[in-house]
Amino acid sequence: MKKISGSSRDKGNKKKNIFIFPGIVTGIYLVLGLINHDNTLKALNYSIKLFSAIAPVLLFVLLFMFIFNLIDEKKLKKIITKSPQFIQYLVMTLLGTFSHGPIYAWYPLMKNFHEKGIQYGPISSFLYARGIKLAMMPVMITYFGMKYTVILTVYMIVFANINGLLVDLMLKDKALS
Amino acid sequence: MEKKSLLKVFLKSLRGLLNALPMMFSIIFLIGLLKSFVSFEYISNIFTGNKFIDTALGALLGSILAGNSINSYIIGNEMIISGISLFAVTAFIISWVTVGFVQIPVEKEMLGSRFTYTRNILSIVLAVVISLSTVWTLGVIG
Repeated sequence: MKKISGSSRDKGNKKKNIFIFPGIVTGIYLVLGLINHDNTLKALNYSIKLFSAIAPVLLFVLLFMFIFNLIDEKKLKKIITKSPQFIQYLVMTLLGTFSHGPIYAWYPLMKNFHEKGIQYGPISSFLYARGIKLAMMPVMITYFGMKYTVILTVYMIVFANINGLLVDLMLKDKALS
Repeated sequence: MEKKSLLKVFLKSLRGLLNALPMMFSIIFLIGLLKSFVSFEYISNIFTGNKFIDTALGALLGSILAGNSINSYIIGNEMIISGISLFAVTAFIISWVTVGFVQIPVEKEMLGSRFTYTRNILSIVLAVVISLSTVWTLGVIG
């Protein structure tokens, strides 16, 4: 599913930002390599072992991301704004489940939804359901098993709707504060 | 769908995955360092062994940290290997993706502070509830 894209300057900053943390980690390795060569080498070997276990799963992740990117966001937006409240919880949960990318990229769309009359509850359901990462499921299954992944996913779908209901009860949909 | 637009969607997906890789590599290499220099056994000392307290601690820890969910699975797996309970790890994984202390300023700006604080606090509480429910269900099913 498509997300709202930022300006080219934002994209440039984002590209720079993704290399800050790797740069720091590389720096730590270099410093520790000089201080304690053996332990650093052990760390490197362990990391390579960890990565080789996860690498094949990334192909499935790519396939899932491709499938979810085919979903038309505009059509879904049309359905949501015209639906009754309880359907909004369900649809927003579904929308959140299929969404990807950083959460803050979705805030402008959520604000837009709220201004168009969608209450805070369904918006909260959307943000909660973003926690369900269908594209990352192969990785979760690899680490925690199929049963655990299915149970957790089902609970998260159910509680995304409950979360929306509770938010609406607690806020009674106050105007943007 | 046209071949051209399918290729465009595929390239977009590939770009998305490639963008996540540097951070994922870093987390993996950082775990390697922790394993060799600090050890997860030391980190596991923070956890008490009480499933309710540990679940709450896991939820709080996941709320502070953020990033790609794969990283939370990798860290979660290491936590389990170190003897931290599945209750705590599950709460950690859930709050990692549902709560965002780091994003609070942006969320507040866009959706208002009342909504932001209510949603985030509620999400921490629900992370504990879902964690307990998931592990108990898993125990029942076997």
